[in-house]
Amino acid sequence: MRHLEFWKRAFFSMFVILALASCAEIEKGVEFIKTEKGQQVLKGAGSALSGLLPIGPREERAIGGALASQVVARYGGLVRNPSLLRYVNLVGKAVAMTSDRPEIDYTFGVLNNEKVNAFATPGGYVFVTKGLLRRVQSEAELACVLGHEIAHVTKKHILNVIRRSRAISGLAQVTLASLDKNPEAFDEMIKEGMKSLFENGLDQNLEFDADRVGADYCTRVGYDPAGARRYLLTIQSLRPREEDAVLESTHPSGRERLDKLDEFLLTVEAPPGGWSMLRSRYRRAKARGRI
Amino acid sequence: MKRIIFISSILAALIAAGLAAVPEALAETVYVRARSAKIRSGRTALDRVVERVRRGTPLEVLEKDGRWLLVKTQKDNEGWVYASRTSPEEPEKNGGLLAHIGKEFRGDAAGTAASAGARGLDKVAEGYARRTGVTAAHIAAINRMEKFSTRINEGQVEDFLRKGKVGEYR
Repeated sequence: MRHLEFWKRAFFSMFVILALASCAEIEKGVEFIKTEKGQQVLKGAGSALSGLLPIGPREERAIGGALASQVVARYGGLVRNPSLLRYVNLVGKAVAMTSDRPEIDYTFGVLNNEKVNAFATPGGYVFVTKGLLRRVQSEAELACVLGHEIAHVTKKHILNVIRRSRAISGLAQVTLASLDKNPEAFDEMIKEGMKSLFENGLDQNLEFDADRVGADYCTRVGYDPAGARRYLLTIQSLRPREEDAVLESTHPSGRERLDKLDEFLLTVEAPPGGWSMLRSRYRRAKARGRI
Repeated sequence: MKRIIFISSILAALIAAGLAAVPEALAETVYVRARSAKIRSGRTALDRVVERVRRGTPLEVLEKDGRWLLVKTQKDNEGWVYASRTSPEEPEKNGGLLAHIGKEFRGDAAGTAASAGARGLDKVAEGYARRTGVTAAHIAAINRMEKFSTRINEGQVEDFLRKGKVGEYR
């Protein structure tokens, strides 16, 4: 009986110690939930709980490829200058490698169109127009433009629009096989994506988010995030024939974007030695690319 | 005697819990958030690479100096890493609540698995393009664009940044 009493006390004490240790972990979890990251995770969990179907990377790329085909068809096809293409890919990949989804096979193209605009579709398809490249004045500015587009991919802005669409609700799950077997549903999903790309645009807070996140990605590489500011000033100064009407209809006003971006830039500290702007290298790349 | 054993086991448990807690309280850990990072013998991009580490690798911070962190890797190598390539937060593997809190559950399938070097438009995407009247020439152009991009690798990007003296190469 005394043996039993002894072991009872020993097990109870061990239990108390383990419980106290667990409390520390629970406290860590509670503190985590109070952070911005924790809130984002909760929102993601909320989406999952509300029944949104997940979309895997291969399916994301199929959706992105379908949208990319529409971008290319509407904007005059792709420029075939290897020197220019290589340069845009090097800048884009430098930013993408430090982004929040660096494992995606990002692919960068130049659209044969004189209007100033840029696009990104799920799965990492990123496009800039010839017109945009003509107006940009430095490598840092280009990096910020590409950073903005990459941010749309990393934050899954268009993908989430599609995930919430009615077209997807008819599918039990989103797989390449189910998409292949249900072309009508797939077409409807892409139609939703196209509205965001070419008509209504995304929620303006997502555009502000992409400006800020894209500029942040550029700081991770070492490019001057003020390049984003210079680009917004550039598109504010465009003459009507230069500006793509789609850009105007799908984005918040330049003034609003500048104000939001400036809030972020105030929080950024330049590293010792400063940032890189690289105007000369950009000019040389444009010249070789015959832009 | 039993009382001694009882008290000793409590003390041993408390000491073990304490020892487990102390290193965590003192050491700062950062994680590689870029695709990869180089741990160097010094604080410049000209210094010898001691080890290359991939995204998500934890590094113990020993010292901070401007844009560089002196770290210790899991292989016990010490060296300097460019701070912007790291983050105090562990990067997401597959999304979802439990991936962060429990670090076990792989819930959200919209995760970040590598696309294993995709080449050209997927069959579903190409089918859609043809249905909607996108020309064969434009489809071929997108396929060429993707193949061109996949030929540009991480080493070439690093070389490009080094030549431009960008970031850690400044």
